[in-house]
Amino acid sequence: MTTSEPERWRRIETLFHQAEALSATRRADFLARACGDDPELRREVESLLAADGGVGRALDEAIARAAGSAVGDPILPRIGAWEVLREIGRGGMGTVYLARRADRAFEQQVAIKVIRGGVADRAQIDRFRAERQILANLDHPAIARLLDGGATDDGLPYLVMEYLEGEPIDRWCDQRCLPIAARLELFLRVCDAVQYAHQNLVVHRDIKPSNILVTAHGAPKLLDFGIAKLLDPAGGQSLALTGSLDRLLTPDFASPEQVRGTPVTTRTDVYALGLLLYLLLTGSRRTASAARARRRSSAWCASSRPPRRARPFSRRRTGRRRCRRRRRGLAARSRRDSRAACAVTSTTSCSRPWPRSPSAGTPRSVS
Amino acid sequence: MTSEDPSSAGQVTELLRAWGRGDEDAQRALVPVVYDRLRRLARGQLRGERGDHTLQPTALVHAAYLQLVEMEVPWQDRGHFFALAARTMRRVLVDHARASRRKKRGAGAVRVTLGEEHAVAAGAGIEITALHQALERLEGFDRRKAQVVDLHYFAGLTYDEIARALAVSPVTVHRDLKLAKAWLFRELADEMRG
Repeated sequence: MTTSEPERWRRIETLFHQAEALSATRRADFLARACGDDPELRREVESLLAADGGVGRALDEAIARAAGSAVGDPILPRIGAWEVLREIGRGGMGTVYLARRADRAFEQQVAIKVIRGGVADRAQIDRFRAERQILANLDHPAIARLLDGGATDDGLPYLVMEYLEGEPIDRWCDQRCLPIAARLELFLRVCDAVQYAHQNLVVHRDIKPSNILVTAHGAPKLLDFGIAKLLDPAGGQSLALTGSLDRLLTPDFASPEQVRGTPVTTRTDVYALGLLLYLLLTGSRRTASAARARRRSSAWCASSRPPRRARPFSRRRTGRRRCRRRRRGLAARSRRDSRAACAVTSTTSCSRPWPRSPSAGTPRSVS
Repeated sequence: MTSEDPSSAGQVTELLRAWGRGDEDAQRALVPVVYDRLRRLARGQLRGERGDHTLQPTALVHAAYLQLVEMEVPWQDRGHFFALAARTMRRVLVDHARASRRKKRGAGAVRVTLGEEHAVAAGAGIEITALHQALERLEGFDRRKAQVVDLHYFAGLTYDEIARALAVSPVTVHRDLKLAKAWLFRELADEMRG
């Protein structure tokens, strides 16, 4: 469409509005008649009608996103006692900076997450500080340390964490074609960290592959322990997948109670660990689309293919499936269950590279 | 625009009136004033002067209006101002997006987790720069529709206000916006598909 065709544009406009007022079935007839021997005109109007049906809030979102990115770009030479070196990432929640101690008291580099549109009032900041202290006390080799936190001069909450370089656990395993035994070993170390946190009454709430980095030395590190609760305006009583928290949680890994908005317990993490194990062993997130579709319905029934069928092998399925049962109240009672189940099954011989290459032949069932 | 710059409410209002009388130079003089004011307002919001940390383009445009234009301006001139300010707001966002993209390219990629997968999933993948370009194309053959889009999305005016600003009926505004949105979405979708 160009300025040289104002007449045609007016014609398109008229037909668009006339057709738009008709029911879908009558539109075709109308356009066939109105456009006659001008199929190009008809295509033009039809494509606009289709776009009209699809546009929804796409433009609003694009503008909101641009505005959100503009606001998330403060120039922050210093945050508390930390000197910002550079921005290293940005997401729905805010911006992450690489920083070091401004007074050079020590040389360790840290990651600082500045949370956009986070904590606002006094009470929430106090709660934030209290929670932060609990998290800062978590001291485990497989948990990324929370070092500091507070509010910037602008009142934006921030968290200072151990800076880690690594790869998400699923990618780390797949790129190295790790055999099952090594995957289980890694998973058990993650379980240890989660168990340690649970003993300290901290629930992670957002366990997912991208929150578990494996360092160059092969050590898993859990990031963002308890952060989801810190950022929950409702005080962490529930983490329903609604409103602002929609962007915080990972639908693929959210537990039924998180989706329903009922109180989060240690079982939330156990559930996510079960899904993680499923992913590590089968290479599939096949609950994802089903979970999304079901997210707002109450039909929480077993929706995933048993791992045995996804990748037919081994008797480990019992333990894994226990973690993933979707029926209300059937989640495994503690992380120990899953660990015990794994410990039993990991004695099975499973040292072949995984995922198997197609040339490796049909997997043999060992059950 | 610094504090010694002649951008008092009286002068802006005078420029608006001159523009209303058909003085195109007045419009050219207004653009930098409004642009600068919007950027300053945005920065003020970042520093927390307004107590919230969500940049609302429409709120900024209204704040700019309150700061730059005297009360008692005829609706037609007010409409002129909003049309210009909304368009300028769009430019502020586009300039910002371009600048931050340049900065990002220089920063190197490090993996972090901050729900970035959702940041991507939440939007429909439409870039503000692409939207801006599409709007400029629309403006090329149907200026009023582009203005309706600006006034609606970047100035947050109601249909009635847009109607008054553009001296058309609210029904026309509604129809214009409907077609303009469809046209833009089609253009942008085509672009995303390549």
